[in-house]
Amino acid sequence: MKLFNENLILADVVSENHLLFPVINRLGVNLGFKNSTIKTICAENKIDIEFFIEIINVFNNENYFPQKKLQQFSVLTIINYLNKTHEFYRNYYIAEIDKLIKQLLNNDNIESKVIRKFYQNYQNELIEHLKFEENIVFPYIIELSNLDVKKLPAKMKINYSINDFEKEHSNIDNKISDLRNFIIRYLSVSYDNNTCNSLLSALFLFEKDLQNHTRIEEKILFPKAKFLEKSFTTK
Amino acid sequence: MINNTKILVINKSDIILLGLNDLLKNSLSNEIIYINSADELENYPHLMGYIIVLISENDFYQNKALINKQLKNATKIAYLFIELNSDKISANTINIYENADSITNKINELLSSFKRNISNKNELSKREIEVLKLLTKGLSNKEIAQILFISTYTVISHRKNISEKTKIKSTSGLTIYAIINKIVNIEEISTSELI
Ligand SMILES: [Fe+2]
Ligand SMILES: [Fe+2]
Repeated sequence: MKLFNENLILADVVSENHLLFPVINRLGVNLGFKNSTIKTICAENKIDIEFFIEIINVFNNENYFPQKKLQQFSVLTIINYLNKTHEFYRNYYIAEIDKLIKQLLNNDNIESKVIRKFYQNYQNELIEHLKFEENIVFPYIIELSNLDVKKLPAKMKINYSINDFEKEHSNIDNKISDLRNFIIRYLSVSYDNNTCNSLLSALFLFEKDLQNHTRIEEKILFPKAKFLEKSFTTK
Repeated sequence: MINNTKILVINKSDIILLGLNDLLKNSLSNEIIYINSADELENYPHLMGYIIVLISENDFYQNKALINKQLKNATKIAYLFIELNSDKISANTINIYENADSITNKINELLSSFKRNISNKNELSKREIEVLKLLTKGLSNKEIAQILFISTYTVISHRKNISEKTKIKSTSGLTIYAIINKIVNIEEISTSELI
Protein backbone atom coordinates (compact mmCIF):
# COMPACT_ATOMS: atom_id res chain seq x y z
CA MET A 1 0.00 0.00 0.00
CA LYS A 2 1.42 3.32 -1.06
CA LEU A 3 -0.19 6.57 0.02
CA PHE A 4 -1.76 8.88 -2.59
CA ASN A 5 -0.19 12.30 -3.10
CA GLU A 6 -1.29 15.58 -4.66
CA ASN A 7 0.59 15.05 -7.93
CA LEU A 8 -1.46 12.04 -8.96
CA ILE A 9 -4.17 12.34 -11.58
CA LEU A 10 -7.51 12.15 -9.80
CA ALA A 11 -9.08 9.99 -12.52
CA ASP A 12 -6.29 7.41 -12.02
CA VAL A 13 -6.88 7.38 -8.27
CA VAL A 14 -10.61 6.78 -8.76
CA SER A 15 -9.87 4.08 -11.34
CA GLU A 16 -7.67 2.34 -8.80
CA ASN A 17 -10.39 2.44 -6.14
CA HIS A 18 -13.80 3.50 -7.38
CA LEU A 19 -15.18 3.44 -3.83
CA LEU A 20 -13.42 6.77 -3.42
CA PHE A 21 -15.89 8.40 -5.80
CA PRO A 22 -18.55 9.22 -3.17
CA VAL A 23 -15.81 10.30 -0.78
CA ILE A 24 -14.50 12.75 -3.36
CA ASN A 25 -18.04 14.06 -3.86
CA ARG A 26 -18.35 14.74 -0.16
CA LEU A 27 -15.10 16.63 -0.26
CA GLY A 28 -16.60 18.89 -2.93
CA VAL A 29 -15.47 17.42 -6.26
CA ASN A 30 -17.98 16.29 -8.87
CA LEU A 31 -17.49 14.54 -12.19
CA GLY A 32 -15.42 16.02 -15.00
CA PHE A 33 -11.93 15.38 -13.61
CA LYS A 34 -10.46 15.07 -17.13
CA ASN A 35 -6.73 14.44 -16.71
CA SER A 36 -6.09 16.96 -13.98
CA THR A 37 -3.99 16.27 -10.91
CA ILE A 38 -5.43 16.33 -7.41
CA LYS A 39 -3.57 19.56 -6.83
CA THR A 40 -5.20 21.35 -9.77
CA ILE A 41 -8.67 20.06 -8.99
CA CYS A 42 -8.46 21.08 -5.34
CA ALA A 43 -7.28 24.56 -6.34
CA GLU A 44 -10.13 24.92 -8.87
CA ASN A 45 -12.73 23.87 -6.31
CA LYS A 46 -11.14 25.77 -3.40
CA ILE A 47 -10.69 22.60 -1.37
CA ASP A 48 -8.18 22.21 1.46
CA ILE A 49 -5.75 19.95 -0.35
CA GLU A 50 -4.14 18.43 2.75
CA PHE A 51 -7.50 17.46 4.15
CA PHE A 52 -8.46 15.96 0.79
CA ILE A 53 -5.29 13.83 0.62
CA GLU A 54 -5.58 12.59 4.21
CA ILE A 55 -9.25 11.66 3.86
CA ILE A 56 -8.79 9.67 0.66
CA ASN A 57 -5.80 7.86 2.16
CA VAL A 58 -7.69 7.03 5.34
CA PHE A 59 -10.49 5.67 3.18
CA ASN A 60 -8.24 3.71 0.89
CA ASN A 61 -6.45 1.89 3.69
CA GLU A 62 -8.41 0.94 6.77
CA ASN A 63 -5.28 0.75 8.90
CA TYR A 64 -3.96 4.19 8.03
CA PHE A 65 -5.18 6.76 10.52
CA PRO A 66 -2.79 9.67 11.22
CA GLN A 67 -4.53 10.95 14.31
CA LYS A 68 -2.25 13.90 15.07
CA LYS A 69 -2.30 15.18 11.49
CA LEU A 70 -6.08 14.90 11.28
CA GLN A 71 -6.61 16.72 14.56
CA GLN A 72 -4.87 19.76 13.10
CA PHE A 73 -7.70 20.48 10.68
CA SER A 74 -10.26 23.07 11.74
CA VAL A 75 -13.53 22.10 13.41
CA LEU A 76 -15.39 23.65 10.48
CA THR A 77 -13.53 21.64 7.85
CA ILE A 78 -14.18 18.40 9.71
CA ILE A 79 -17.84 19.11 10.47
CA ASN A 80 -18.53 20.22 6.92
CA TYR A 81 -17.20 16.86 5.73
CA LEU A 82 -19.18 14.91 8.36
CA ASN A 83 -22.40 16.72 7.46
CA LYS A 84 -21.94 15.92 3.79
CA THR A 85 -21.35 12.29 4.77
CA HIS A 86 -24.63 12.22 6.67
CA GLU A 87 -26.42 13.57 3.63
CA PHE A 88 -24.91 10.83 1.50
CA TYR A 89 -25.95 8.15 4.01
CA ARG A 90 -29.56 9.31 3.94
CA ASN A 91 -29.82 9.75 0.19
CA TYR A 92 -27.86 6.70 -0.82
CA TYR A 93 -27.12 3.89 1.62
CA ILE A 94 -30.16 4.15 3.86
CA ALA A 95 -32.53 4.56 0.91
CA GLU A 96 -30.87 1.69 -0.94
CA ILE A 97 -30.76 -0.73 2.01
CA ASP A 98 -34.34 0.06 2.96
CA LYS A 99 -35.50 -0.74 -0.58
CA LEU A 100 -33.48 -3.97 -0.79
CA ILE A 101 -34.56 -5.25 2.64
CA LYS A 102 -38.20 -4.85 1.65
CA GLN A 103 -37.52 -6.54 -1.67
CA LEU A 104 -35.59 -9.47 -0.18
CA LEU A 105 -37.75 -10.16 2.87
CA ASN A 106 -41.09 -9.86 1.11
CA ASN A 107 -42.87 -12.78 2.79
CA ASP A 108 -44.56 -13.55 6.10
CA ASN A 109 -42.02 -15.99 7.54
CA ILE A 110 -41.12 -15.29 11.13
CA GLU A 111 -37.48 -14.69 10.21
CA SER A 112 -38.39 -12.19 7.50
CA LYS A 113 -40.72 -10.39 9.85
CA VAL A 114 -38.28 -10.05 12.72
CA ILE A 115 -35.31 -9.05 10.59
CA ARG A 116 -37.43 -6.46 8.78
CA LYS A 117 -38.49 -5.06 12.12
CA PHE A 118 -34.93 -5.15 13.42
CA TYR A 119 -33.84 -3.10 10.42
CA GLN A 120 -36.72 -0.67 10.74
CA ASN A 121 -35.81 0.01 14.37
CA TYR A 122 -32.19 0.40 13.46
CA GLN A 123 -32.94 2.79 10.62
CA ASN A 124 -35.03 4.99 12.89
CA GLU A 125 -32.29 4.98 15.47
CA LEU A 126 -29.67 5.85 12.87
CA ILE A 127 -31.67 8.73 11.39
CA GLU A 128 -32.21 10.07 14.91
CA HIS A 129 -28.48 9.79 15.54
CA LEU A 130 -27.59 11.76 12.39
CA LYS A 131 -30.20 14.43 13.17
CA PHE A 132 -29.02 14.78 16.74
CA GLU A 133 -25.44 15.32 15.63
CA GLU A 134 -26.42 17.82 12.94
CA ASN A 135 -28.79 19.81 15.14
CA ILE A 136 -27.19 19.58 18.58
CA VAL A 137 -23.66 18.21 18.71
CA PHE A 138 -22.06 19.85 15.67
CA PRO A 139 -23.52 23.35 16.27
CA TYR A 140 -22.40 23.06 19.89
CA ILE A 141 -18.82 22.27 18.83
CA ILE A 142 -18.82 25.07 16.24
CA GLU A 143 -20.00 27.45 18.93
CA LEU A 144 -17.20 26.29 21.22
CA SER A 145 -14.67 26.91 18.50
CA ASN A 146 -15.99 30.44 17.91
CA LEU A 147 -15.93 31.47 21.55
CA ASP A 148 -13.07 33.63 22.67
CA VAL A 149 -11.58 32.55 25.98
CA LYS A 150 -10.53 36.09 26.84
CA LYS A 151 -13.98 37.58 26.45
CA LEU A 152 -15.75 35.07 28.64
CA PRO A 153 -16.90 35.70 32.17
CA ALA A 154 -14.53 34.35 34.82
CA LYS A 155 -16.26 31.02 35.18
CA MET A 156 -18.48 29.69 32.48
CA LYS A 157 -20.64 26.71 33.18
CA ILE A 158 -21.16 24.48 30.19
CA ASN A 159 -24.32 22.50 30.81
CA TYR A 160 -23.91 20.18 27.90
CA SER A 161 -20.83 18.02 27.47
CA ILE A 162 -19.34 15.87 24.77
CA ASN A 163 -18.81 13.17 27.40
CA ASP A 164 -22.57 12.63 27.75
CA PHE A 165 -22.93 12.05 24.06
CA GLU A 166 -19.79 10.00 23.61
CA LYS A 167 -20.84 7.14 25.88
CA GLU A 168 -23.68 6.04 23.62
CA HIS A 169 -21.97 6.90 20.43
CA SER A 170 -20.33 3.83 18.87
CA ASN A 171 -23.32 1.48 19.35
CA ILE A 172 -24.55 2.62 15.99
CA ASP A 173 -22.24 0.40 13.94
CA ASN A 174 -22.88 -2.83 15.88
CA LYS A 175 -26.36 -3.32 14.50
CA ILE A 176 -25.33 -2.97 10.89
CA SER A 177 -22.87 -5.84 11.31
CA ASP A 178 -25.63 -7.83 13.08
CA LEU A 179 -27.86 -7.28 10.07
CA ARG A 180 -25.15 -8.44 7.68
CA ASN A 181 -24.65 -11.57 9.78
CA PHE A 182 -28.37 -12.37 9.80
CA ILE A 183 -28.38 -12.28 6.03
CA ILE A 184 -25.18 -14.28 5.56
CA ARG A 185 -25.53 -16.82 8.37
CA TYR A 186 -29.10 -17.18 9.48
CA LEU A 187 -31.46 -16.79 6.55
CA SER A 188 -32.95 -20.02 5.22
CA VAL A 189 -32.69 -20.99 1.55
CA SER A 190 -35.74 -19.52 -0.09
CA TYR A 191 -34.57 -15.99 -0.89
CA ASP A 192 -33.64 -14.33 -4.13
CA ASN A 193 -29.88 -14.57 -4.65
CA ASN A 194 -29.51 -11.48 -6.80
CA THR A 195 -31.35 -9.21 -4.39
CA CYS A 196 -29.35 -10.75 -1.59
CA ASN A 197 -26.16 -9.97 -3.46
CA SER A 198 -27.08 -6.31 -3.93
CA LEU A 199 -28.11 -6.03 -0.30
CA LEU A 200 -24.89 -7.57 0.95
CA SER A 201 -22.67 -5.26 -1.07
CA ALA A 202 -24.62 -2.24 0.15
CA LEU A 203 -24.43 -3.42 3.78
CA PHE A 204 -20.77 -4.22 3.53
CA LEU A 205 -19.84 -0.83 2.07
CA PHE A 206 -22.08 1.07 4.45
CA GLU A 207 -20.60 -0.73 7.44
CA LYS A 208 -17.06 0.23 6.41
CA ASP A 209 -18.02 3.79 5.62
CA LEU A 210 -19.84 4.17 8.91
CA GLN A 211 -16.91 2.76 10.88
CA ASN A 212 -14.66 5.29 9.24
CA HIS A 213 -17.10 8.08 9.95
CA THR A 214 -17.48 7.09 13.59
CA ARG A 215 -13.71 6.93 13.94
CA ILE A 216 -13.31 10.50 12.65
CA GLU A 217 -15.96 11.66 15.12
CA GLU A 218 -14.59 9.80 18.12
CA LYS A 219 -10.86 10.09 17.55
CA ILE A 220 -10.65 13.48 15.86
CA LEU A 221 -13.66 15.72 16.42
CA PHE A 222 -14.63 14.80 19.99
CA PRO A 223 -11.09 15.11 21.40
CA LYS A 224 -10.86 18.56 19.76
CA ALA A 225 -14.18 19.54 21.31
CA LYS A 226 -13.15 18.25 24.73
CA PHE A 227 -9.97 20.25 24.52
CA LEU A 228 -12.03 23.38 23.83
CA GLU A 229 -14.44 22.58 26.68
CA LYS A 230 -11.51 22.23 29.04
CA SER A 231 -10.02 25.57 28.05
CA PHE A 232 -13.27 27.26 29.05
CA THR A 233 -14.14 25.46 32.22
CA THR A 234 -10.68 25.57 33.77
CA LYS A 235 -10.16 29.21 33.01
CA MET B 1 -8.63 -15.95 10.06
CA ILE B 2 -5.59 -16.79 8.01
CA ASN B 3 -6.66 -14.13 5.53
CA ASN B 4 -7.21 -11.63 8.31
CA THR B 5 -3.60 -11.87 9.34
CA LYS B 6 -1.80 -8.71 8.34
CA ILE B 7 1.74 -8.53 7.14
CA LEU B 8 3.75 -5.52 8.18
CA VAL B 9 7.01 -4.82 6.37
CA ILE B 10 9.37 -2.30 7.95
CA ASN B 11 12.53 -1.33 6.10
CA LYS B 12 14.41 1.88 5.32
CA SER B 13 15.03 0.81 1.74
CA ASP B 14 12.28 1.43 -0.81
CA ILE B 15 13.96 -1.09 -3.10
CA ILE B 16 13.43 -3.82 -0.51
CA LEU B 17 9.84 -2.72 0.15
CA LEU B 18 8.93 -2.61 -3.53
CA GLY B 19 10.76 -5.86 -4.21
CA LEU B 20 8.90 -7.68 -1.43
CA ASN B 21 5.67 -6.10 -2.62
CA ASP B 22 6.21 -7.53 -6.10
CA LEU B 23 7.04 -10.90 -4.69
CA LEU B 24 4.23 -11.19 -2.14
CA LYS B 25 1.26 -9.50 -3.77
CA ASN B 26 0.52 -12.34 -6.19
CA SER B 27 1.01 -15.23 -3.81
CA LEU B 28 -0.77 -13.91 -0.70
CA SER B 29 -4.22 -12.43 -0.30
CA ASN B 30 -3.37 -10.89 3.04
CA GLU B 31 -3.24 -7.17 3.55
CA ILE B 32 0.36 -5.99 3.46
CA ILE B 33 1.48 -2.68 4.94
CA TYR B 34 4.82 -1.20 3.94
CA ILE B 35 6.55 1.46 6.00
CA ASN B 36 10.10 2.84 6.12
CA SER B 37 10.47 3.03 9.88
CA ALA B 38 8.76 1.91 13.08
CA ASP B 39 7.94 5.57 13.82
CA GLU B 40 5.38 5.52 11.03
CA LEU B 41 3.34 2.96 13.01
CA GLU B 42 1.88 5.97 14.76
CA ASN B 43 -0.23 6.44 11.61
CA TYR B 44 -1.68 2.93 11.94
CA PRO B 45 -3.18 3.01 15.42
CA HIS B 46 -5.85 0.36 15.00
CA LEU B 47 -3.84 -2.64 13.90
CA MET B 48 -5.13 -5.74 15.63
CA GLY B 49 -5.56 -9.48 15.30
CA TYR B 50 -2.74 -11.61 13.94
CA ILE B 51 0.27 -9.78 12.56
CA ILE B 52 3.46 -10.97 10.91
CA VAL B 53 6.24 -8.39 11.04
CA LEU B 54 9.07 -8.46 8.51
CA ILE B 55 11.94 -6.37 9.82
CA SER B 56 15.74 -6.47 10.02
CA GLU B 57 17.06 -7.95 13.26
CA ASN B 58 18.88 -4.75 14.01
CA ASP B 59 15.80 -2.54 13.54
CA PHE B 60 13.83 -4.98 15.65
CA TYR B 61 16.11 -4.69 18.68
CA GLN B 62 16.34 -0.93 18.35
CA ASN B 63 12.58 -0.47 18.10
CA LYS B 64 11.25 -3.35 20.16
CA ALA B 65 9.59 -1.17 22.80
CA LEU B 66 8.04 1.13 20.22
CA ILE B 67 6.69 -1.74 18.12
CA ASN B 68 5.20 -3.48 21.15
CA LYS B 69 3.54 -0.27 22.23
CA GLN B 70 2.08 0.49 18.80
CA LEU B 71 0.88 -3.07 18.26
CA LYS B 72 -0.64 -3.44 21.71
CA ASN B 73 -4.00 -4.47 20.25
CA ALA B 74 -2.56 -7.39 18.31
CA THR B 75 -3.73 -10.86 19.29
CA LYS B 76 -0.47 -12.39 18.27
CA ILE B 77 2.69 -11.09 16.60
CA ALA B 78 5.27 -13.20 14.78
CA TYR B 79 8.55 -11.89 13.43
CA LEU B 80 10.59 -12.81 10.38
CA PHE B 81 13.92 -11.04 10.12
CA ILE B 82 14.99 -9.48 6.84
CA GLU B 83 18.61 -10.45 6.31
CA LEU B 84 20.94 -8.79 3.81
CA ASN B 85 23.98 -10.95 4.44
CA SER B 86 23.97 -13.85 1.96
CA ASP B 87 25.63 -16.23 4.46
CA LYS B 88 22.88 -16.03 7.04
CA ILE B 89 20.01 -18.27 6.08
CA SER B 90 17.77 -19.70 8.79
CA ALA B 91 14.15 -20.61 9.47
CA ASN B 92 13.20 -17.31 11.05
CA THR B 93 14.91 -15.04 8.56
CA ILE B 94 14.12 -13.96 5.05
CA ASN B 95 17.33 -13.57 3.16
CA ILE B 96 17.14 -11.16 0.22
CA TYR B 97 19.10 -13.69 -1.86
CA GLU B 98 16.58 -16.42 -1.18
CA ASN B 99 14.27 -17.42 -4.03
CA ALA B 100 10.67 -16.27 -4.08
CA ASP B 101 9.10 -19.64 -3.27
CA SER B 102 11.22 -20.11 -0.23
CA ILE B 103 10.23 -16.69 1.09
CA THR B 104 6.50 -17.18 0.57
CA ASN B 105 6.75 -20.66 2.09
CA LYS B 106 8.15 -19.23 5.29
CA ILE B 107 5.31 -16.74 5.50
CA ASN B 108 2.73 -19.40 4.71
CA GLU B 109 4.10 -21.60 7.44
CA LEU B 110 3.61 -18.83 9.98
CA LEU B 111 0.10 -18.26 8.66
CA SER B 112 -0.84 -21.89 9.18
CA SER B 113 0.70 -21.93 12.65
CA PHE B 114 -1.72 -19.12 13.50
CA LYS B 115 -4.55 -21.20 12.14
CA ARG B 116 -3.71 -24.13 14.42
CA ASN B 117 -4.03 -21.76 17.38
CA ILE B 118 -7.63 -21.00 16.68
CA SER B 119 -10.12 -23.52 17.96
CA ASN B 120 -13.41 -23.59 16.21
CA LYS B 121 -16.19 -24.14 18.70
CA ASN B 122 -19.29 -22.43 17.44
CA GLU B 123 -22.01 -24.28 19.35
CA LEU B 124 -23.51 -22.42 22.28
CA SER B 125 -23.09 -24.23 25.60
CA LYS B 126 -26.08 -25.06 27.84
CA ARG B 127 -25.20 -22.22 30.17
CA GLU B 128 -24.87 -19.77 27.28
CA ILE B 129 -28.31 -20.76 26.02
CA GLU B 130 -29.74 -20.10 29.48
CA VAL B 131 -28.14 -16.67 29.52
CA LEU B 132 -29.38 -15.94 26.01
CA LYS B 133 -32.96 -16.90 26.96
CA LEU B 134 -32.90 -14.51 29.89
CA LEU B 135 -31.40 -11.77 27.74
CA THR B 136 -34.31 -12.00 25.32
CA LYS B 137 -36.66 -11.34 28.25
CA GLY B 138 -35.06 -7.91 28.58
CA LEU B 139 -33.24 -8.68 31.83
CA SER B 140 -30.08 -6.81 32.80
CA ASN B 141 -26.74 -8.53 33.43
CA LYS B 142 -27.26 -8.07 37.16
CA GLU B 143 -30.73 -9.63 37.12
CA ILE B 144 -29.48 -12.58 35.10
CA ALA B 145 -26.64 -13.07 37.59
CA GLN B 146 -29.13 -13.25 40.47
CA ILE B 147 -31.37 -15.76 38.73
CA LEU B 148 -28.49 -18.08 37.77
CA PHE B 149 -26.56 -17.62 41.05
CA ILE B 150 -23.45 -16.46 39.25
CA SER B 151 -21.51 -13.17 39.34
CA THR B 152 -22.31 -10.28 37.01
CA TYR B 153 -18.79 -10.67 35.72
CA THR B 154 -19.52 -14.24 34.64
CA VAL B 155 -22.69 -13.10 32.87
CA ILE B 156 -20.69 -10.50 30.96
CA SER B 157 -18.16 -13.12 29.98
CA HIS B 158 -20.94 -15.47 28.78
CA ARG B 159 -22.39 -12.61 26.73
CA LYS B 160 -19.03 -11.98 25.15
CA ASN B 161 -18.71 -15.64 24.18
CA ILE B 162 -22.25 -15.74 22.81
CA SER B 163 -21.51 -12.74 20.58
CA GLU B 164 -18.23 -14.25 19.51
CA LYS B 165 -19.88 -17.50 18.48
CA THR B 166 -23.03 -16.09 16.87
CA LYS B 167 -21.33 -12.92 15.47
CA ILE B 168 -24.31 -10.95 16.76
CA LYS B 169 -23.38 -8.08 19.05
CA SER B 170 -26.47 -6.06 19.98
CA THR B 171 -29.05 -7.23 22.53
CA SER B 172 -31.95 -6.80 20.14
CA GLY B 173 -29.90 -8.68 17.54
CA LEU B 174 -29.43 -11.58 19.96
CA THR B 175 -33.18 -11.69 20.52
CA ILE B 176 -33.71 -12.02 16.77
CA TYR B 177 -31.05 -14.74 16.70
CA ALA B 178 -32.86 -16.65 19.44
CA ILE B 179 -36.18 -16.41 17.59
CA ILE B 180 -34.80 -17.47 14.20
CA ASN B 181 -32.95 -20.41 15.75
CA LYS B 182 -36.00 -21.40 17.80
CA ILE B 183 -34.23 -21.00 21.11
CA VAL B 184 -37.22 -18.96 22.25
CA ASN B 185 -40.77 -18.67 21.03
CA ILE B 186 -41.84 -15.37 19.61
CA GLU B 187 -44.71 -15.34 22.15
CA GLU B 188 -42.24 -15.52 25.01
CA ILE B 189 -40.65 -12.20 24.12
CA SER B 190 -41.95 -9.58 26.50
CA THR B 191 -40.95 -6.61 24.39
CA SER B 192 -43.46 -6.44 21.58
CA GLU B 193 -41.46 -3.74 19.79
CA LEU B 194 -39.43 -6.36 17.99
CA ILE B 195 -42.19 -7.85 15.92
FE1 LIG C 1 -22.03 11.31 12.34
FE1 LIG D 1 -21.99 9.62 14.96
